[in-house]
Amino acid sequence: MAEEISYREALSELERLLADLEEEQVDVDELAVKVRRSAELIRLCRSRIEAATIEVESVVSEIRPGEDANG
Amino acid sequence: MTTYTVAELSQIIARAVTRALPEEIWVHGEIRDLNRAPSGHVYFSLVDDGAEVGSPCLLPVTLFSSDRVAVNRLLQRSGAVRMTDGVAVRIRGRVAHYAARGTVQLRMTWIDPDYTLGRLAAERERLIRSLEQRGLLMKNRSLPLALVPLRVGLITSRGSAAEADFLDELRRSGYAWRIASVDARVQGRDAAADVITALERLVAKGVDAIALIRGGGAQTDLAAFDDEAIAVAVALTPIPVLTGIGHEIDTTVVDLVAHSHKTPTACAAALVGRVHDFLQDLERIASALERSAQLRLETTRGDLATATERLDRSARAADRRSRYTLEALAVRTIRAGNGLLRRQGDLVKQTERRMARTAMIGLDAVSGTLDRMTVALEAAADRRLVSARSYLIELEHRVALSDPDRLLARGWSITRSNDGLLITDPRAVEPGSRLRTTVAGGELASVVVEESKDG
Repeated sequence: MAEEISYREALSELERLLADLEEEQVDVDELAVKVRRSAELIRLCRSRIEAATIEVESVVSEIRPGEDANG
Repeated sequence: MTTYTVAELSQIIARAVTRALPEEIWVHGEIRDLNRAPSGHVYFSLVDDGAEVGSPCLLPVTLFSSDRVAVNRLLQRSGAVRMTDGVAVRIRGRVAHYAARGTVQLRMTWIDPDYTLGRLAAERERLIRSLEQRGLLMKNRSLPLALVPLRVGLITSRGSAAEADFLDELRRSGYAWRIASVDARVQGRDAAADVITALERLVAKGVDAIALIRGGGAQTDLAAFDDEAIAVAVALTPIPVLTGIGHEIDTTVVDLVAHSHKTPTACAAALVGRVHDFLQDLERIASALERSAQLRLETTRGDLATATERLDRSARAADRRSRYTLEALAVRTIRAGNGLLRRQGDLVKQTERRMARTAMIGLDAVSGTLDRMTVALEAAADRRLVSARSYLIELEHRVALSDPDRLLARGWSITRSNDGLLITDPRAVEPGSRLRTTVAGGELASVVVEESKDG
C-alpha cells in the first residue's frame, strides 16, 4: 500500500502532517506516530528517486529510419 | 505552315527568352526537390501555388558550382538561412532555355537571405496569431509538470549530440530516470510526421514528461519547429512537452507552445531541477517536522513542568494551610496548656503563699517558746544522763553476775554430752554415756554410772 503511493500523495500527506503538528492539535502519543509516518514517507520517496540508475528504453515505432536528419 | 527542326525551334525559343529577359532577374518561391550533385552543382525547383494564374507553377533552377561558392559564402555570413526543401527564397539569375532538356531554367547566381528570414518571421507571426486565436498557445504550456518527472519520453534523432548532451545531464544527477526514447527526424519536410507520431506513441505509453530536442543549426534547419502541424500536435499533447531546440538565441513556434528550454542540456537540467526541488521540499518538510515535533515535545515538557510547578505550588499552599491549622492548633493547645499551667502555678503560688503565711505565723508563735523548750530540754537531758549512768552501772552488775568464768570460779561447772550438748537434765543421759565437764581449772571426762532423780 505504502509502496504504491505517488509523490504528490506523499508530499501532500507530509504537508498535512506538518500542518497538524504546527497547529498543535497533536498529543505526544500521536506525535510519535506522525513523525514515524513522515520519516517513512520521506525515506520512501528518496529511495525511489535516488536509485542512481538511468534506464533508456527504445520505443519501437513505425517511423522509417531517417536519413541523416540532424544539421 | 513552316515545319521546324527541334534545333531550329530550340534556337527560336532561346532567342525569345533572351529577348524577353535579357538581364538577370529576381524571382521568389519555395525550394523543392533540392539535389546536391557530386559534381558540385545544385539542382532544385522553385515553386509557388500559382494563385495568380490558377494552378501550381514550377521553375527549374541550377546553381553551378562556380556560382555556388559565392552564394554559400553569403549564406554563411547571414548564418540563419540554409537552402533546403520548403524554404522560401528570393534568388537572382538569368533565365535561359536549355536545349538539351528542352526546358527553360533559371541559372542562379545570387540569393537574398533577408527575404527568407522575413518570410520565416512573417509566417511565424501568422502561425502564432492563429494558435493564439485557437487557444493553443498556452494549452500544453499550462499543464503542470509532474512533481517527480522520472519517466521521460524522449523525441530526438538517435545518436545525435543533442541526445548525448541530454542523457549526460540526466545521468549526472544520479536520479533513477526511465527514458522512453523515440527516434525521429527533426529537420526537413518529414520532421512533422515523425514528431507527431512520436508524441502519440509516448502519450500511449504513459510518461511524466516528453522532451523534444535537437541541436542548433541554421534558422531554416529549425523551420520544422515553426511548422503548424507540429505546433498544434504539441499544443494538444496531454502530457507536458519540454523542448530543447537549437541554441540559446533560437525560439521556434513549438517552443512557444511547449515548456521551452533553450538547449537539450537546459531541458534535461529543468527535469533534474524539478526532481531536485521535490527532494528539497522533502528536506524542508523533514526539518520542519523535526522542528515542530521538537517544539511540541518542548511545549508538552513545558506544560508538564508548569503543571508540576502548579501542583507543587498548590501542594505547598495546602501544606502551608495545614501547617497553619496545625500551628493554630498548637498555639491553641499551648495557650490552653499555658492557661492550665498558669492556673496550676497560681494555685501553687497561692498555696505557697498560704503556706508561707502559715509558717510565718507558726514561726512567730514558736520562736518564743523555743527558748523555753531548749531550757527544758537541757534539764531533761541532764536528768536522762543521771539515770542512764545508774542504768549502766546496774547493767554492768548484771553482766558481771552472768559471766560463766565468775560462776566456774565460784565452783559451778558445765556438763556437756560427748556430742557437746549442754546437759541440764539427768534424763537426757543414759548409764554408760560419756560426759565432758568444764570447770574453772579445765575439763573432766566421766562415764554415767547411775541416774539420781533429785539431781
